[in-house]
Amino acid sequence: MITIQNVNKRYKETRALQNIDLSIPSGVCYGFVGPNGAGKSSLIKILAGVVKDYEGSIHVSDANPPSLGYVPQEVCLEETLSATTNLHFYGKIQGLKGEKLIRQVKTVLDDIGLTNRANSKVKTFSGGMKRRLNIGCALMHEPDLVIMDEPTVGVDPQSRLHIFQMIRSLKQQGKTIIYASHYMEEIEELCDEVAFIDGGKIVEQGSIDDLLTSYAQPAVFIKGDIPKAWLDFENVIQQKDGGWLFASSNPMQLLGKLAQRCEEQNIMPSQLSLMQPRLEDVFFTLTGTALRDTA
Amino acid sequence: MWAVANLEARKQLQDKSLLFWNLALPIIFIIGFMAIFADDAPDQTAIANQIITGFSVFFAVFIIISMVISFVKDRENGFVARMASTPLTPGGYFIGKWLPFGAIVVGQIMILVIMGIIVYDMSIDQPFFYLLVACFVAMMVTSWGVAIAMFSKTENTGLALTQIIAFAGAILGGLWMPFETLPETIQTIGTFSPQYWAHQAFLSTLPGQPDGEDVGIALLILLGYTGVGFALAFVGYRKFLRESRS
Repeated sequence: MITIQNVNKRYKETRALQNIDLSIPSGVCYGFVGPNGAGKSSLIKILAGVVKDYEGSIHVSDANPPSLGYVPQEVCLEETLSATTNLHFYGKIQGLKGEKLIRQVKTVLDDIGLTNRANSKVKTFSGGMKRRLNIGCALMHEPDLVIMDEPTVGVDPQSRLHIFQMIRSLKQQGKTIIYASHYMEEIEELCDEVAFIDGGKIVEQGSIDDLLTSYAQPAVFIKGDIPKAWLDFENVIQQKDGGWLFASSNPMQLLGKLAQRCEEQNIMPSQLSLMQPRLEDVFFTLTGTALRDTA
Repeated sequence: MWAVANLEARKQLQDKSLLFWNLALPIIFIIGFMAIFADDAPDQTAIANQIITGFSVFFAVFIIISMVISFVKDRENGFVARMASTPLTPGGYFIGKWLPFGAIVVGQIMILVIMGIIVYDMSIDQPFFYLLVACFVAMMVTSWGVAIAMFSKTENTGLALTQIIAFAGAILGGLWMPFETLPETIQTIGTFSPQYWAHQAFLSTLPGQPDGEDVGIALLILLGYTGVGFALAFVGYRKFLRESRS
């Protein structure tokens, strides 16, 4: 268990983090989610030991401090050298040597899907391949705790899928994963628990299922040439993508009602569908939708 | 530390611009200057001594460009920040980065002198002292390289400062022409330049060099300049680390 108590971080006049209190259980995938500049990376860097000048405390309650693998937001690889040389270097830095180092390079190359490009220079790689190698470098010493800061920025769908598979595999091995992203669908797909960060503060935290239950209602989405009078039909949450979103505690019944009305009045909507609550809805409910450009 | 040194060495040895500035260009200059000034001269070896030792010191300074580029890149691409999450200490990182550059300068100086011996009949009285001087010169220029890298916001800052140091030192320190032929004022100012002492140290190890200073004094002065370089680097390294990690 990692306990973060009253952590504050300031960059000159900017308060990047304010009174952060969090508990991250061992063996879970824990997401930090929030807009750009929210403070996710600052918190990640503090947890990874990169930023050391902060107020507050961080305790690890396990008997042995976990070994740490940090995947920074930047792709920091030696581009003029091969994937093997890069992995070799990160393994050596973590104290691996001899046969174990060679074996681990092969294993990680296989895990990140780069075995057939092992000896190619990194500068010849695509963005997705570099991102995978960037992750692989952090996994060389088989860390107990993996901290990832926006690991899928700018990657192609295939590489993203591969990265997701790697993370699921790490979860199955019982590793603790801290995953920061502003892509809420990634957090929803990969993480067990989440902390919403906005303006340097934790807005809410908890298990994703609990948050969805507490903050987001299922809804029905209808799009098409709908009479205005229908908007009083049920509670309209919001106008979305040129259609209307109706919140309901009984969405199936509402879906049926709307379908019946359409049939009675001979209206053919271009879309009529059930909308499951999403993490994004929870986030907007908690933080609003105003732009954060001044943050 | 050794992992960083190994990585840096591999990286630098593949860098064509480093090979050009630190090896190809000095060889071209030496051949060119020898062709111009030594062709009809009665004592070719004396001219070779001046030119090869002078250009060895002059081009050793150009390692600073590669050092600044390497450190600035590490800071900008998050490498230094990433290292902070590993068991590598900041000291291990800096020494690991510094060592290969020092070795490259020693190698560069030795290749140039071997060329002088083979092609221009240069002879060295005390080869061990020549190597020792090469090590001291390498320490001095690389200590300044680390210092400049710590304070450089961009690679261009390093490029500009290196050229100022290289050309000013060459003119004042008598690297391009015998020191005693320089105007008296220049000679007085020149004795404050590290390049002058580096050059004098090399000349001291060659036979028949009446103007060569005592090698011991020259080495001590070079050590002093190295100390100043590392002290400046130490002052800047916290700022460098802070900027790398924020």
